[in-house]
Amino acid sequence: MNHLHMTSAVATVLSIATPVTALTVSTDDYTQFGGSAQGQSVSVEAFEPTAGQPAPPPRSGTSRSIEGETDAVPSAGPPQSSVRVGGGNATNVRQWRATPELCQLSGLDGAAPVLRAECEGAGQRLAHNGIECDAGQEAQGALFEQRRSGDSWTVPEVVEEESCVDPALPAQDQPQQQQQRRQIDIPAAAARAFRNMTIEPSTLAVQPPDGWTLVNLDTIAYAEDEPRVLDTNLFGIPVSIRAVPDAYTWNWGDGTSDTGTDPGAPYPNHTVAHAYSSPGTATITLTTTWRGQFRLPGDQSWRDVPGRATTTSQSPPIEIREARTRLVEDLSH
Amino acid sequence: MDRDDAEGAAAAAEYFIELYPYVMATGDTVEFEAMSHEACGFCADALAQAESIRDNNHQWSGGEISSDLVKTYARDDLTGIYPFDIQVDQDAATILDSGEIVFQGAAESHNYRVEVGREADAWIVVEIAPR
Repeated sequence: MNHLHMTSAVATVLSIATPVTALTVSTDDYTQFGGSAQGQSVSVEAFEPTAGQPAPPPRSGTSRSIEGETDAVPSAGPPQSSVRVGGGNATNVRQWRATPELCQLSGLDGAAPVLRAECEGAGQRLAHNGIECDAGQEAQGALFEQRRSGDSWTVPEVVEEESCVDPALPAQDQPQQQQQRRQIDIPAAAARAFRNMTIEPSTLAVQPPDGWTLVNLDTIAYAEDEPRVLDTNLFGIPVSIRAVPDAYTWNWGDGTSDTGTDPGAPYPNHTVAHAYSSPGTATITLTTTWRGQFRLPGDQSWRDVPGRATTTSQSPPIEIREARTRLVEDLSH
Repeated sequence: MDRDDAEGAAAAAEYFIELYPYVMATGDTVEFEAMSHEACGFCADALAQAESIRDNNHQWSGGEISSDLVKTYARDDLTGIYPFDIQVDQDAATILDSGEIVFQGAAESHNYRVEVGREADAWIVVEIAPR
């Protein structure tokens, strides 16, 4: 049975492990309500709501989707000064891993997207397959840390990557370094950094540039195709992560769209254009699909990480006008 | 219980707790099981006992429960769980096997931490543990 393990400053989120399966009960085991509750332990640490503590402002960042899943992009946590220190029963830092037990709770409504992603993603794959650990070792998911901010917690940050633990060594009270042989999986960490990366959407340009165009004539669109680079630090190792545009989907706003790898170009070298068939107003929406890559210091080439991210950009509304031919009376006679 | 906020969660928790003697007495576990999360050890133990009483033709009597919400905690934003402290008072229960007493309990009164989540638009009990 797990127990909620906490020190004065750090709480570990643990979860119960008893599955609902047919258990055999003999008459000797019969109990009342309290007997069934005996031996159980809570899944989460509970906090009393604090009055007058405003919730932290919503995270800023561009909304984007990863492999079809809409997710807010985590930004850096609030500055240290906003973390509440001391006071009541509050624990200011909590740490958790996506253990199979905690992942049982990831299907609940309101579970954090990061927990769901972690339970569906690398942490669980590693934990379930164990393919990346030596024989006799056990896989352990990444360790996340959150800090208290008013009534809620900051965005979880990875403080320790997935690792392989030697179960023969005593757990708990031993220092971390003695407890496990760390095997840092940089590609997995880079993939996570890419997942959490804020990608600035492609800049979209339209020609003619004045907010109007003509029916049956080409309206040109193009995007800049620069990769977005994030220089970061993964467990003490400087790593560059970049998002590279992979595909562009042009939604012309009249029910038609085109998809391709071509970012287009300005007139007269344009390659992406659309002729509207009727007058009206349209907004062009560009969905850019990005793939991820990382590079370690001294590496010549970028290495791919799994997963795709998408961003969307929009043009201002474009008025589609009709150019009519008119018979004009010749007044020269 | 129809509400999808903390008050709805608390009402669901109390309903679930007060369902306990009914489930033991009738063996009708359908609703109790539907409100039990797969990770709920309390639920698994209680369900196993109710099934054992039913399958062995034992009879549960007494053990009526009344509950009181003592404390509501902030919703846990990692799991979406609403934690509560709930006072549970239970009368003494007896379990008989063909008229012979196989279990004789005593009236009990305790405070429990009850964790309630929401899954597919329905309340579900994640755990009930001693305080």
